[in-house]
Amino acid sequence: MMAVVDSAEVLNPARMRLSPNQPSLTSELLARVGKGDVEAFAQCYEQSSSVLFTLALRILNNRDEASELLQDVYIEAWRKAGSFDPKRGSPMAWLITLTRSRAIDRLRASASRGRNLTDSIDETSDDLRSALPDPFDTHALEELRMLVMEAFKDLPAPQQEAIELAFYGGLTHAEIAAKLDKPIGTVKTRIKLGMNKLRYALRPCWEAK
Amino acid sequence: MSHEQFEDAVALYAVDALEPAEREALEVHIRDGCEECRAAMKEYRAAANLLPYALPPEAAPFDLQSHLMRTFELDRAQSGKSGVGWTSPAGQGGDFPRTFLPWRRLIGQPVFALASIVLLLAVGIYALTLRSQLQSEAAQRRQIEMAMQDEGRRLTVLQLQATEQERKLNEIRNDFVDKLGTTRDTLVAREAELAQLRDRLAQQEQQASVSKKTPSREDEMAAFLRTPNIQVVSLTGSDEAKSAGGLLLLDPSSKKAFLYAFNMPPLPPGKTYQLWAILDRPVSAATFVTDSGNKSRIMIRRIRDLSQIKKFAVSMEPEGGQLQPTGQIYLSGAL
Repeated sequence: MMAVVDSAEVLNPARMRLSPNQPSLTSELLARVGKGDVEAFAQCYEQSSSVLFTLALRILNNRDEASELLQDVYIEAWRKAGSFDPKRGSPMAWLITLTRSRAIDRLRASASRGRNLTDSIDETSDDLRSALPDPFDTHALEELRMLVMEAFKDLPAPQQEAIELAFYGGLTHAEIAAKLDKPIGTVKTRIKLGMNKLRYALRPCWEAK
Repeated sequence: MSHEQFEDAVALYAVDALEPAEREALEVHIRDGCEECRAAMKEYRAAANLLPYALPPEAAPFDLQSHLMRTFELDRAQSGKSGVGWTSPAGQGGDFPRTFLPWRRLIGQPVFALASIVLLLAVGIYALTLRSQLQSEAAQRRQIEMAMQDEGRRLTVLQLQATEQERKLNEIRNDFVDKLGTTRDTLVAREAELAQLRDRLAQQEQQASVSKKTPSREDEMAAFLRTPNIQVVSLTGSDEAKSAGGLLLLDPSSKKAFLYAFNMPPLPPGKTYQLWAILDRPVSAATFVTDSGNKSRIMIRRIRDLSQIKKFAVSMEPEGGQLQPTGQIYLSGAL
């Protein structure tokens, strides 16, 4: 079982501050992008492209598809950056949500399953995204990676699998249950328990803000 | 659904694992004011959005950024606006030119097939013309690589030589330091020995000087006895010391004298024997004590008015001697 105390130790906010030379993907930077500042976009790209491309590649499992999707995401970000509301969450969380939703949509479109995640994401209440952490504001990127990796590795393999199928595969609990040939209740429990552990293990990330 | 069921559904909502109907129901539940579920939703979504950081990081395509920047620069220039208040035309519903991976969007269209054939022919011809050039460049590259390898080997040899030289230099330096230390120790030891020798020499010189200044008693006695004109005075014991006797040797030239007395009565504490030279009156010549054999041998440096002396006598006097005889006479003899 994952040790919450250990995670809290790792999450010491004093240890997780960015180095002075680390630029941050701030709301101000995104606001400049929204005003057509190409230089600001370059900074935004440098600070986010690796994570977003990794995410897109994990979902789509195809470099060309992931590259094209990343292009679409940045074009959409360029279009919508001007209307980005900092109260709704951090720029990085916004880009991650955008990338994942577009990638899942593309994945489902290719599978002709028809369910559009983008619509449901867009319908999500603004407040539900307001607490998303901005890793570049509070944590050094590598330390954040290590923390999340450790937290995820601490989960039992079945819980990891269920969460990955949902988050990266875009599958509902019923689809996961069918794929794994397990009862729906079992899949729901695995996701619930796994996410609950992650919630507590990663809580210092946003509590330190 | 009950509140508990919604609570359970929040974790699944965060990773989009709910069925559409469940999702919608939960969103309504939260919009209706369930703060508990709203707070839980925030945290679950935050945790879910961190999941990509657990993946092994991949670098985005190296030319995507430059392509996007060119596209945005062009778009901004075409919009004719910049700075505060700028809004891209695409944001108002327009499309951006797509030049990055455009072929994927054209697949399936007839024009794509034609364009592909023309493009393939062109590429084929171009490839043929480039082939020889590429081969030449490859050969040049190989030559450069070989030259670099040669340089690398040469550099390695030089580095080895330098390392060997450095090692030898270190050995020489260490050897020198050792020898220097040994030499220094030896020098210090020699200096100490020299200092001791000097001290001993100084002591011996001092002793020699003292010896020169103060000849030994035996030497003085021998020299005295070799004197040719020595005079002998026999001293005989008085009634109080009939067995006592003595000899007094006199050297008129040096005015020295030697007294030998024997069988002298033991001296009581605080008493001494005193030798008197009798001229017209007694004059003190020396004081002496006897040894364990009741004998005494003394050298007298100077006897004054020797030519006028008529007689010698020995009396017992208080320790330190007297100006005139006060005690009993034990020895006497005429010159």
